[in-house]
Amino acid sequence: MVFSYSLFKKIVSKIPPRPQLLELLNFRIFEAEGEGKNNLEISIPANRYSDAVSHFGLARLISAATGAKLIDLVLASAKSRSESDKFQIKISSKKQCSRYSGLYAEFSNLKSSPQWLKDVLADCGLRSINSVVDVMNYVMLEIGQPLHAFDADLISGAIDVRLAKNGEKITTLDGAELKLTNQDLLIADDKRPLAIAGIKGGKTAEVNTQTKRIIVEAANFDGASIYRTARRLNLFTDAGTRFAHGLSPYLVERGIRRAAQLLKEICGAKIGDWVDVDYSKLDKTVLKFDVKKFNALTGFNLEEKVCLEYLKRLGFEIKGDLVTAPPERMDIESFEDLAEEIVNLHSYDELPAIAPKMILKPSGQEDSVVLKSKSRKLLAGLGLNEVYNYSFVAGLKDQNFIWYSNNAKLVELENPIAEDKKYLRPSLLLGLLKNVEDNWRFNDEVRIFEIGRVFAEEKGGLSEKLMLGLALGLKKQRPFLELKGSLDSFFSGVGLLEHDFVPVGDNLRIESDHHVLGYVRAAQADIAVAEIDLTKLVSLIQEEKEYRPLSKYPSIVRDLSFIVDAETRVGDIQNILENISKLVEDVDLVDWFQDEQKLGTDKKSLTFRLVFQSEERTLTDEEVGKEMERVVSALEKKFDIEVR
Amino acid sequence: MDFDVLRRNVLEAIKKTQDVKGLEQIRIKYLGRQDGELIKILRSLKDLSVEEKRKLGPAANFLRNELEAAFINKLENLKLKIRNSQSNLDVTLPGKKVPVGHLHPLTLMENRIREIFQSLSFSVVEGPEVESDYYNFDALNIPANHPARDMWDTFWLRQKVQSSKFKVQSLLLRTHTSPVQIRYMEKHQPPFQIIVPGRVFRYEATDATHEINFHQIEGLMVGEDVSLANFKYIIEEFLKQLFGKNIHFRFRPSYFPFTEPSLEVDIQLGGKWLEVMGAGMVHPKVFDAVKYNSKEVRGFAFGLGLERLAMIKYKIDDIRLFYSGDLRFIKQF
Repeated sequence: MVFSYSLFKKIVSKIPPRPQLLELLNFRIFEAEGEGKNNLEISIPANRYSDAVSHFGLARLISAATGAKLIDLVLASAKSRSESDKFQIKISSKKQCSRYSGLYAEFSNLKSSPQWLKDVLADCGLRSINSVVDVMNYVMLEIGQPLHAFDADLISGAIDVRLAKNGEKITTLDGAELKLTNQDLLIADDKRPLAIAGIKGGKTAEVNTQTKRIIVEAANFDGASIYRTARRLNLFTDAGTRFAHGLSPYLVERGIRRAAQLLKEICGAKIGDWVDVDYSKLDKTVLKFDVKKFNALTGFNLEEKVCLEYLKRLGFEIKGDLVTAPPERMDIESFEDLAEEIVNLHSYDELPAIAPKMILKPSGQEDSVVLKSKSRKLLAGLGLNEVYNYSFVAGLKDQNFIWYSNNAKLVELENPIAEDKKYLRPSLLLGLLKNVEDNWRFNDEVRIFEIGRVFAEEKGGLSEKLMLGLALGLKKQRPFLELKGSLDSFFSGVGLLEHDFVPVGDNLRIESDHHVLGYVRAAQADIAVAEIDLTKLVSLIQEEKEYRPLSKYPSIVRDLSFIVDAETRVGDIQNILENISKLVEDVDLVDWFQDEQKLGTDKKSLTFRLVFQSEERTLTDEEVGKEMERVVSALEKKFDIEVR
Repeated sequence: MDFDVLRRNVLEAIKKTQDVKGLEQIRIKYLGRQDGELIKILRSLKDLSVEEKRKLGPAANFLRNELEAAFINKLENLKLKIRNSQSNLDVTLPGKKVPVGHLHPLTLMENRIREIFQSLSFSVVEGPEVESDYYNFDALNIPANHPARDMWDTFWLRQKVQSSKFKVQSLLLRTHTSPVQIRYMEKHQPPFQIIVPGRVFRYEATDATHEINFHQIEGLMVGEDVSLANFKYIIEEFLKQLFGKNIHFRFRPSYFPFTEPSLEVDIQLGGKWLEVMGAGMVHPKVFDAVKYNSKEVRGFAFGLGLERLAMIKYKIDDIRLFYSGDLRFIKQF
């Protein structure tokens, strides 16, 4: 929020020059900036609107920091009454309005404001309108209490603070017609709405050039109610924002007195009755200050009187070790709040660094954190690069991307930031496929992976899963088998004892111990992708690897080449080869080809390398020869093969 | 022929030969099974008298063994030379490119930060990215219908959840990693110290320093006598390990609803002060929300932006590069 340096000058004695003031604000009070102009931009915390969104409030904080004396504002010594014969006030909605004050004033003619006042308004980004409206705004800037002036002659009957009727309309000062609901609070007379309470005045009783008699409003409205209305109407005014944060009812009285003073001084007004309808309960917060507790919480080693002196400068009442916050300090609720005041004024510069006392306990990491780290290292070792994509997607053409959940739907945002970011990603592959295309402009070979969360809406609720997505895009090759091989290395690297690739159409389903872990597919001939459920993988990993003694006996290697129907799946053959003989230690496909001229269109040639080994003895050629015969006859039973 | 002459000739020839082929020719000439000169001599021994046989035989066999050993020795030598010389290799050619994958700079940064905090006895935990408004706001002392919530521009989901018979909870994308403080404390008792890395979301326009999703690391230490001075110690250690021993840092007053007192941490780099972290002592209302006795425990919490630290550390000037998927960027790390 913007504040005027020249107004600070009027109310802070010995105010530091602007650069030093900014420094002081930043290190003892609130974040602030502003260079070269006559104003300062100060960030007021959301819990400090009651005491600090005003020049006087900040002057008190600045004075407390510099140790200079605070100059109080001149307030008229008016006395409130509960009713008047000139005007009536009632509050029908006490829940939304705890205090409502009206101050009667009359003057001969409406003057324009003096230049110094116009300058202060301008520093704070406000336009001068006429001296009455300007005084209302000026007092708000000084004290923090929003004020409003009605033309008393345009009000018929009593002023009532009530909830609007559903559909009730009001025309605001800027001429906009707004439709209200029964949640919105109104200031109304007997006939019409006069203002949207705490947010904006209406046309009906607007102060105008003919105005001679006014009623000044200073009130306290419920923050949540004002905030709801402002949000619903999307109408954010200075006054509305202040009320929404919550203000102390105490400010009402200061606002009225200061307004009375300035109306006299500036507008030459004659001040009449002040009617104050007050249902508010000003509970004073009394806290016990324990300096030991303060030093334990902060690590400082301050004396009690030093601490109390800081609080005193901030306007706290001190009686022994009991402290009472000033009535506008609505943020002070607990001991910790007092501690913050003292720490800030004392400054962090002198805070010591002290090693914490800790119980010796090994630090740990969640299993999924460990798996993520391990996966990343492995995949980088396999030549894949890591990318991060947005969690948002445009939509989904292919429902198969949500393979891990039946009948799942996309998770939709209520307030998407863009058309192409309306949903949460159900799969990492959408991003990875785009990454491959993008990178193909610079690189023929793209090997990437991403680890991240994916989302889907299921019947029971919302699912959030940790996934690993991989994509290989090789412009001049078919990357499917490379990806499959990388996955083999990946799974054994993370400590998964066994996994299977089960063909499902053109895809492979990755299974382990009867759990589906993910899918591998050729998105197109030159792009292969896979997605793996890491949450599931975590539960299947056997952390301990166990050493198996190397066989003392030599192994015997035999190659087996044969021709088989082109559509026969290698996986099925491999399966037989691996399981037919106990002596087969390992089976690898070492060569395969299709050749129209040599083999015809419907045949392919496969060469497997079989490694035979026993852990008990040296195998003989004869023995292995017999096993090979068994292998071949087993294949012949199942497939139409021709051994080469 | 005199054995000595033969011996000298053969050894001389072996010595002079510089390649395997030439060596083989010499071997055939003298030790060849068919016409090798020494072999012929050996073969002719059978025609000699027993006495001569006894005299020449052992000498001839001895010579044969000696020469064979010399051939083998030379052959090994030549082979070794071939292996070592690689006469046609230009060793100044650039090395072959062996494909290696690169980790994302945010991963590298997170790993480094995790390492540092683990060395300081902090454990690593994570939490969900979709949260309820209770965990993201209410439990952290950010009440509904208060503008304090506007400090976090929030993405809301269409889907709601029924948390109890009468209460419907709104779902949102967490705006910070702080909800994990609540989730962790609900299930664990102090003392403990944790860090929480994770992705967070803000509904705001993107530019060189703002993204709609980014990453934070939350820290939380709770115990009987944890103080602000302890926080200063931990964070000083952290900053020194991350940025070097000579790093300068400072604290400034700040405001967060879930800490009291609250502060901001700046570091000095290249003459400029940069904001890197928000922190403070855990607010008693946060302890109340997790049913801790706020009179008996204290704690500090902090939150730092991973992108921001990575941008400072690696001198990256646009946050959007992290989410570009551009390998020309990734491969620099």
